Amino acid sequence: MGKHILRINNVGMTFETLNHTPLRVLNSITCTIKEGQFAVFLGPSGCGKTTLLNIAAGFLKPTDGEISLDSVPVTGPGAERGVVFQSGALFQWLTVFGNAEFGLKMRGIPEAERKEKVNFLLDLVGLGNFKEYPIYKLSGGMRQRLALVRSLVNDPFIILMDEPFGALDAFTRDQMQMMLLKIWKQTGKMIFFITHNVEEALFLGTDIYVMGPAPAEIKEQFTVDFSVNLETSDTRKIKSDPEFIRLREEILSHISLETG
Amino acid sequence: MMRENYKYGDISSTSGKRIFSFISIIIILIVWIILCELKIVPELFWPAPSSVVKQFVQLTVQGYKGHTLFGHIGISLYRVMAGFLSGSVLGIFVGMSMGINKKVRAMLDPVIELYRPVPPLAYIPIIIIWLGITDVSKITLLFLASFAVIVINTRAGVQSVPLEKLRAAYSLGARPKQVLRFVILPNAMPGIVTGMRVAMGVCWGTLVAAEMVAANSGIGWMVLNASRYLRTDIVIVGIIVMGALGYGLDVFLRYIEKKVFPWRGY
Repeated sequence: MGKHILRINNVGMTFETLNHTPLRVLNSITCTIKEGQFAVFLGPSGCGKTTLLNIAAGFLKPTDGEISLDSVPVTGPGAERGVVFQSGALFQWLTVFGNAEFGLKMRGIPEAERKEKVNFLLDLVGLGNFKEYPIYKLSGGMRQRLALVRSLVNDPFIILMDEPFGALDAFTRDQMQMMLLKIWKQTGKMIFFITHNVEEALFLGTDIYVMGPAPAEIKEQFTVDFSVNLETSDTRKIKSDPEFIRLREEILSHISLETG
Repeated sequence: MMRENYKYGDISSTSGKRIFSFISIIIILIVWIILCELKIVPELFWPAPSSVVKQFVQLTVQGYKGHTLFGHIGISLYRVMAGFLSGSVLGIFVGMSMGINKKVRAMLDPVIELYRPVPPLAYIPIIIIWLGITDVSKITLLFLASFAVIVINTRAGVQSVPLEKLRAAYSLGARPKQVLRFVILPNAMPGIVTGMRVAMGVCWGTLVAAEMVAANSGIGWMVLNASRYLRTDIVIVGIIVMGALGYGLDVFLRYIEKKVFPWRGY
């Protein structure tokens, strides 16, 4: 534990817009995520959170600064950094199983090993009975569970999640949050999680980075541990805890000050 | 079979309503028989169903000028298949290349965009000059007719792959060649098959016209030749056969589409 570490060092990003005026979306972001941490980046939509994730995933090259994982600079996408997209981005021409085993297959893992690993993870998220299902028959929640499994099979050091529950209804979202916490606690992986939902951030995260509107900077950082009590308490109790509510209001007032 | 529980917008084929298809065909037949029985239309212009059926049997058994009806059909199908398949193979290859490589796209785009709008039949004169009225000339024409359609659909299919799916594949550890084979190609398949369906329709129409201009066998030629001798019954048999075959080919491709890509439209 505590081995892997993601360093975001003074990262900034400027996009060229259609009329050639530069648009600054990220400004000198610096932070460190360690193994076992659940880092949540919280900010209004359009603030550049997703750009930061895309840089960490290796899809985009930052204009300045650098992100490194275990001292190796990120220069492109790689299997050690799993990504879960808001839309799921599943491959609709494959079955549930085919999607789940994709990463292992690409990396040349033998079939027997693939089967064992994929079956274990699909059972873990409750998709064990849907292995041969086509993607279009799955509900929104099932799709996101599959997207999570698909990135987990590669046993990545970090999982980057871009508003993965943003399109789900409140009830499904609660279930997904519980499932994610369970998996996070079981595997101890570091998680880089993006959301604009303050309650979700406080409930899931251990380290919360509050970002302002574009060009985004880290305005504030909180360290919390509301999910520690999950075994003995329940979701509603945690979310109505006076400290939880106080922090929620504090963050919300900051965000509305920034955007208002 | 699940059905949408609202009135308009249900596109799930015609399931359960096949009876109406039969009714419409029977009505057409009845009107046809009545028109002929009452001698409203002269036999020369529009022969009775009975003489068409008789002619169909006769053409099947005795044939028309050297080939039986199915002989002519076979010759036509051979030409269509040869042109269509060669156009498909090369068209998919070129379309893929144009979809993934900017240089190839820039190079071939003007060529294809210039020759595509020309109706295939306009090439007949030059093709006859070059290749005569052999089978090769018809196959070349059908190749030209199907190639552009398939190139354009394949290219569009390749370029339609969502950015997030590419990113997902790369971040799962796929190498560029694997992304091409396991993401870009399967994602393009429905577009490619749609292109093939359209191309098949174009080929069939082009073939019949081509045979009317330059051939001495095939179903299109048979119809044209029979019309010279005012054999309307043979002409009608030919037209019905062409319609049925064109329809049959499309049904076959649609069946494949449904079997292979049940996820279309999601």
